[in-house]
Amino acid sequence: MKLVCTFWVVLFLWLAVAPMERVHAVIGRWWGIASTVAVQEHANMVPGVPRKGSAIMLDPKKHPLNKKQRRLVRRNPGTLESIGTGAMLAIKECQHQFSNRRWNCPVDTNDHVNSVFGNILKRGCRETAFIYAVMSAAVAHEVGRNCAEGTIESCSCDYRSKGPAGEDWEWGGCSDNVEFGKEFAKQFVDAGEKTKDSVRYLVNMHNNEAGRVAVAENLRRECKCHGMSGSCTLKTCWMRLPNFRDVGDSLKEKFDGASKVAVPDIGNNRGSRAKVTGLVPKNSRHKYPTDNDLVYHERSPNFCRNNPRLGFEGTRGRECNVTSRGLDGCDLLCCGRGYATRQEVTKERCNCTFQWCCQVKCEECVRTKTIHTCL
Amino acid sequence: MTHRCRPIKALLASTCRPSVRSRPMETGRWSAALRRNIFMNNADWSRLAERRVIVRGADFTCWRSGRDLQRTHPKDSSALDARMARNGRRRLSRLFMELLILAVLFPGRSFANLMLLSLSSVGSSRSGRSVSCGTAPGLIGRQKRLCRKYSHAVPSIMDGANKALGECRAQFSQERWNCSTRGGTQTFESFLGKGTRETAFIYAITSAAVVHAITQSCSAGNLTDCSCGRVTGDSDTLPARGSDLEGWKWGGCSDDIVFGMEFSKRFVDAADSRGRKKRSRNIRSMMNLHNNEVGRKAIQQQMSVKCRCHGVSGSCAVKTCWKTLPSFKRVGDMLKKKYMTSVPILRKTRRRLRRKQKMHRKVPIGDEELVYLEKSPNFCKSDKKRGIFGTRGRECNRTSTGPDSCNLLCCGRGYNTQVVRFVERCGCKFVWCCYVKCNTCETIIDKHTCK
Repeated sequence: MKLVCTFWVVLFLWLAVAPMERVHAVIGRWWGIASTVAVQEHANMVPGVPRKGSAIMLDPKKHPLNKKQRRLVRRNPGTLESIGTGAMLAIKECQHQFSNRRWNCPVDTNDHVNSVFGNILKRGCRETAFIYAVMSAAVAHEVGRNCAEGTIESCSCDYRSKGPAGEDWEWGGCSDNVEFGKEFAKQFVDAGEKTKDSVRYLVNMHNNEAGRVAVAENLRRECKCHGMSGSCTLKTCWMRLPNFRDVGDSLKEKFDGASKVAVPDIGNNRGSRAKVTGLVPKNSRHKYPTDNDLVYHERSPNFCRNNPRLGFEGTRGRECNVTSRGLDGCDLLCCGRGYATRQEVTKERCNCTFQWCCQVKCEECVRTKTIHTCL
Repeated sequence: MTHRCRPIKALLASTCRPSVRSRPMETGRWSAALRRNIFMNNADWSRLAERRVIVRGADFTCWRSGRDLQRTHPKDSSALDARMARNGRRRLSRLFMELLILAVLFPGRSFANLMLLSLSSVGSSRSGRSVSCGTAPGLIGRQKRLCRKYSHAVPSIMDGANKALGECRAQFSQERWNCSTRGGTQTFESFLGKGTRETAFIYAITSAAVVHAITQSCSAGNLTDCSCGRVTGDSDTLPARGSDLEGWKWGGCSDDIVFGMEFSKRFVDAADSRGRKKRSRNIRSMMNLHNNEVGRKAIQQQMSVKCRCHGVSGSCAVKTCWKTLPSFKRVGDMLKKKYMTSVPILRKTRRRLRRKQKMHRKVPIGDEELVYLEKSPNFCKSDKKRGIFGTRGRECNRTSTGPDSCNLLCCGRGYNTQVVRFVERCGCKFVWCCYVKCNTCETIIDKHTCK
């Protein structure tokens, strides 16, 4: 009898916990590609440079991609590299944009279960919104650029704009294929989300879209002159994707103005669930989020102290700026705990002079730097 | 020895005990320094002659009558010492316990500032309602006496207090601390309790505002004790008459700052100059007095000469000039600049204020520098106890990079966006005869407020 009872309890617990496990394990698992790329970059000893032609080998045991994603990659040879570089690019951008904030986008590239960014993805706060948007933007960006570069077989330059356009210029050259990038990212990134019946799903979909829109928004025209030197009698122009830094900047701005949203009535309105437009601002007096706004549905924690549930270590030991009144200032970054000051002596090369021929001679300067770290 | 009490809340009158020696500390919250002075050797009784007494928010004044004072004033401190010794150890220990309890119950003194006055009765000077000197908040005994003596100056003081508050709000409208007084007098008082840079600014601007308002009233002829200033060559660096070549002379009604300065000094400084001797003042009072002086000097420095031409149009055959007060906005600007460069000071005094910075400790602090004791909080989060309201809900500027930018003002919490529709009349035209025809224009703007 006792055995039967235990069995039922165990079964019940398993049934209750198993779906949750599945849900959490599914979140953005394709981001794990970034770690694969990181390992390969390390092996090639050329960090940050995309490795053209070298195939990414995915460890089948870790299988970061789901069935639909694998099919997409198979049908578009070359996209896996773009996704890998994109993921790396996004992580770097996230860390750059948040370097002055309490949450500084910590990543663990070996953490496959929680998809690189850790448990923050289990929440629906502003930071999570940014991660989703920047990841999706990076895929659209990289795929669009790589189409034009010719490393993806199923697409090429965007030739839709043709012929004379302005008074002294005409379309020509090879435009970055942002349309393909966007569409591919939509198919690929959105396929990562499985739990279609929650606020979180709608929020994530919205943020994915916002990231892609941010890429398309920042598209700019680049031109080149032809004709006699300096004359510029004929100008050909093409559309080029922005530096990813610009996309990051624009997303960071969206992050600051992100709207807190809710789904009006999730039980009855099945139609709104399928569409992302089902989100409304939590405070009815606030502006409705547009396609390019980031949205979230949970409050951010203050990220001051070590939070094992989030996997965030807190701001202890972080370097801060005494004079700044912003979030990187010691007052706000250290959450009022105070800071320690220490002098660090660094040796730098200075007063370098060029000597004929051919060497540069430098002196060694000793500089003391004052460094403040949070307690 | 007897005590006379003038209770405001009759209920609490009994707490003012008739005997000062048996249970002396029941009567008020006195500063620790003063307590020591009384019960140790050099008791300066004259200083105790008048004191503002606050018992649990009630407000009444107790003072010893002059006759009693004469009688009991110890000629030398040894007489008091001997009497104290006779009381025995038991009494002393009881006294100590009482002191301890009082120290716990009333941890600090109240900080009076005229801005409190403007909080309680904003606009009352305009509406002509007279302010009762006895019940006005932010005034202490000596100020109340002055208030009764110069009762006709009260509207000017009120005007000054309002002016100070208005200018403070204007100067700090874009900062995290926006001179907010939402919580009423008590919250504002607790904000003044900390000797921060913001407090320094408040003291300076109130003191300056009193000078400004009183001087303006003098020139307008509203006060009987002063009038337009007569500028003479002796008292000023400027000549009594302009040289004949320049062809101008003093004339018109010059603003006489002397009375205003003196009045402000007596009235505003009264709150902090209870001790006659400088030594007995605590550091916070010294900080306030210094900042009051900085405020007054800011006006004095900006006095300027205005001239007007007379004679055939455009000829300027005769020019009369007079001295005029600066606009109060200019004074505010100047004090804001001083606020930005204000100087932290040491808590330990050696009869004068000293800089906290070790390198410059020898450099004396001049009348042009505001001083503060404590570091300001960041004003990001609301802390009602300390009179801080936080920046939640404050409007911010998305594109700016200054202190009003959403990034700095919202302390990184981000902002909400509201769509606001403005309907206004525009493109107005005069149509003969006689009406004005306007269109209605609608503008839709995004309003950003801090989360």
